[in-house]
Amino acid sequence: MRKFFSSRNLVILVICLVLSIGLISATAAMRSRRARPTLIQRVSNDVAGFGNTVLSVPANGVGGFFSSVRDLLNTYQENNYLKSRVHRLNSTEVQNQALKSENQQLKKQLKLNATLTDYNKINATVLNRTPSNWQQQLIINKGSLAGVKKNMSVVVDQGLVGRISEVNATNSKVELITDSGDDASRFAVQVAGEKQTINGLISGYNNANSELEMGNLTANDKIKKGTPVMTSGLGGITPKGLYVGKVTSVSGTAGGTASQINIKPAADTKTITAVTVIEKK
Amino acid sequence: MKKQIRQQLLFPSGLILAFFLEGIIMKLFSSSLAGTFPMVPYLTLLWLIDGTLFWGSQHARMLYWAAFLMGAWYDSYFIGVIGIYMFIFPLVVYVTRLLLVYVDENLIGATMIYLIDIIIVLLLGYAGGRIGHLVYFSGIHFMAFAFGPTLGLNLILFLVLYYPIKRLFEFINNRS
Repeated sequence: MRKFFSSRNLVILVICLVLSIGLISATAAMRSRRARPTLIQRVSNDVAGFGNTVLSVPANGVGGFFSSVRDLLNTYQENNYLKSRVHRLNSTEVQNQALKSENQQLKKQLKLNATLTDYNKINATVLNRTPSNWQQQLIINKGSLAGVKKNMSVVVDQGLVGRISEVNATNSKVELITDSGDDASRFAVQVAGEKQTINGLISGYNNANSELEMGNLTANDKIKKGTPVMTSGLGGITPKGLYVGKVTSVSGTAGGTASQINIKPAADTKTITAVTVIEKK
Repeated sequence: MKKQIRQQLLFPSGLILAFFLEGIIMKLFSSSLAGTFPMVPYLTLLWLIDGTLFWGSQHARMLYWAAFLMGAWYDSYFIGVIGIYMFIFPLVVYVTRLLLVYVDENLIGATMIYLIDIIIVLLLGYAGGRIGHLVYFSGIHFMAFAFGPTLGLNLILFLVLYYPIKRLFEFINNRS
């Protein structure tokens, strides 16, 4: 009978274990420090991205068919709802225009060239999602060639969904806002309390009810349910004024300090097909 | 000659296809796969194990290399940190080959081997993620929410695909 572990196999196993831990730590450290991964990694990722794009076409066709059928069934209800929204939207748009031009004039008078709310946009399609149950990451089809850089913010129509964590030539990885791993960078956000603005960080994600947790609060104030939460622009990486979600509850009031605000994210991070990458001007 | 090339090509090309499909399926069905119970359809692993079972008895060296390289690619493209699946995939091939000495290759035997492999991948993968500071799930949460459903999903996938893949390998091997 074969021995379960021959000494040669044991040596190989130990060497592999050491190599594995070493490689993981080394690449993880490099990933958080370097703007782009190593050349070999970039090339292999670009090759993979190309293959993925080719295979995505028929796959998206199949997926698109199912969602089209679903959309068709919802059309009537949605149409009614949208009609009611369109009227309101028109007036908001006009008002927005007026405010925008007024804002520009005021900025000119104050000689403010670039503020925290100015940004450029890059549109991208989602190639795939990381097949992992302990990491929430997307891979999108735009990379450094399109001007994507590390740490740019990523939004969909409804709001903020994450930030760029790795850039290759033709694709990049997006770390979702719901990924609150040890190494994930935190988003600086703010919410209007009854008396003052409260600043904090997105500190976690509750998988059970899909709610974000906002911690490290700077002030103690009453917050109404449904108050919108925006990025604060503090920290200098994320632009100001990106919509994150709505407050659902405030929990953990130990010693009178609201230690955590629960947020219903505006964007559903589970069904993202296209994103916009935002670059601060 | 042609037959030989066909035999040699089926395994690697299937592996690459499974690799891409894994990410695409994860994206298309992310509303149910990345929900409260995070699940992953480990298609690359499935093909790797099926290849070991139906094809690998004479191709051990190529199998290990394929597992190693595919693991490295998987790490680089999907995870972003190298060194996790790069070593888990060859280990799983080793374990499968080891168990094949004691267990007959039939539906029940293969399923048991696959279950053991999946458990190894889940636990070591999570451990690897922890070392790389990538994990957003606590260990208890992982065991409670992700472990069982992922095991179940992959078991179903394996059972559904067992005979088709077996027939495919037999078809390619026997066709003149």
